[in-house]
Amino acid sequence: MSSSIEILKQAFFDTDHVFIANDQADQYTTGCSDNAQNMWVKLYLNTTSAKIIDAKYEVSGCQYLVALVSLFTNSIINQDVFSLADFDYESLVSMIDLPKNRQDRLFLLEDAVKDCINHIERG
Amino acid sequence: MKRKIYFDYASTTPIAKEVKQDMAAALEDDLLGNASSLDHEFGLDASQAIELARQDIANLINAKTDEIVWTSGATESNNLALLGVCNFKPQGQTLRITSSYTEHKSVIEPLMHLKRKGHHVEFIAPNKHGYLEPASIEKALDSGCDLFSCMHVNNEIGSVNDIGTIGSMCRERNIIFHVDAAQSIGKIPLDVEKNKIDLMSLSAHKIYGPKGIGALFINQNSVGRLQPLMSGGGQERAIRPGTLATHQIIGMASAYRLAKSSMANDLIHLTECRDLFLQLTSDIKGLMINGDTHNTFPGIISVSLPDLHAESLLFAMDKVAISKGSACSSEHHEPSHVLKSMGLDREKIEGTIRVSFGRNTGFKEIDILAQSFKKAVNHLRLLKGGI
Repeated sequence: MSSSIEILKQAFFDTDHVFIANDQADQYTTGCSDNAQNMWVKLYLNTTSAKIIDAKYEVSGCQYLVALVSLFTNSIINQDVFSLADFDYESLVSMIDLPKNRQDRLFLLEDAVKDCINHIERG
Repeated sequence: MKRKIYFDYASTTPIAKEVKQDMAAALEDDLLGNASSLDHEFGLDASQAIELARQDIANLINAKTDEIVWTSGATESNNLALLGVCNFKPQGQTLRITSSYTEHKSVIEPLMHLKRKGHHVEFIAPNKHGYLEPASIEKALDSGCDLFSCMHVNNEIGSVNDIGTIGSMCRERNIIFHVDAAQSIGKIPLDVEKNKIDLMSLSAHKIYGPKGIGALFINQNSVGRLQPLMSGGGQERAIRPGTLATHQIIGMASAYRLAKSSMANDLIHLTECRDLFLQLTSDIKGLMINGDTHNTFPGIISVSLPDLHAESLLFAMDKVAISKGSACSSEHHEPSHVLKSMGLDREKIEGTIRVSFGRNTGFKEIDILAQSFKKAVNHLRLLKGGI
């Protein structure tokens, strides 16, 4: 079983779901969030009949934020987009042993997800 | 697991082999005595060893032996110097103290304490390169000052203050001049007489000596006595009571002797390290160097990438050990007060890292550092969508 630091590293360096220039932006619905420390998250969800068939992201911030976003996008493929409202963020917290003074990174991710769902609901 | 390559010499240095040997010898039974127990040979031997060590410290800075007081390190020396001068004055007498925004917290916080006690404390800003302009110091001194305190080399960006000019300005006006030399001692020649210094804080662990030992130079002609921070013993002329740590003191003296003989070569080596690092990273888009190339100690380089976050940059550089800035404040996640005072905006401060080189740094290691740095920058920019 991997330790939290190993999971943090793997997720931080994993670029499989990073949105790149070749990706077709018009196939994705986006959701964004940012904070006063210039950290930000941009989520890209490609859905068919509310099912997430692909998830991508862009992110700028500390290693914890990067890892949270990376782990999140990896775990939501094939899920119902509206089930994300009840996503178990605490599981991500324990996976990387998110320090108490970095819990606000989770709010950034949650806000980006909410923004994305809002855009999907609005069509 | 292979350890990271160390590039954080400004926070501390490894103990030199020669120092370890001298300290190990001092831990043998020959020097088991308490240096204050002068009734037998054990105490006398320890005392003699300590006085020889004191001579080594004095030799490096051109001071007299009785002007050196042992402390636990530069933080205590800074506290003792500033609080000791002010508390020695008759109760009710307030002093006018001037310092700078770029100082270490071990200077700023005692000064804030003195301000709360009623002393007049003023901080002056550095120029955009991080060092104090003589004109702004002169203006502050002429508006009324009893004690001026500044660092020689800045711990975050390596900028060097013109100690000689400041010392002359203070001496002409009969102002006590305190220098925090934690980052410069043993690295840049420092002469307390020539530079007209009244108090100077010294460290051991920044120049390959042990942690937990330092000293304060107290000019016997201009200052003489200070109010101690502690009471309960007569050691160190009652200025700093407490049983002296013989092996630590011997380690510090050993490091200072070594520094004296290798300072010129070290400085050449550090300059070569700096030049190589800057050359190898010159193609990183948007890389900014904080400070200028003239009044700078070459062992410390502060660089900013305003589009990135220093914390993730350090995390991405998994082969090297570097820091965001001062070791003393890095755990508090506060923006650097030094960079702020130089006028850097939040983005630049958040994207700043400090690389510091030492006697043991190899050129191959700098190549690894530069490659690791570039790889980290590329990774983080990819995460941002290649922005």
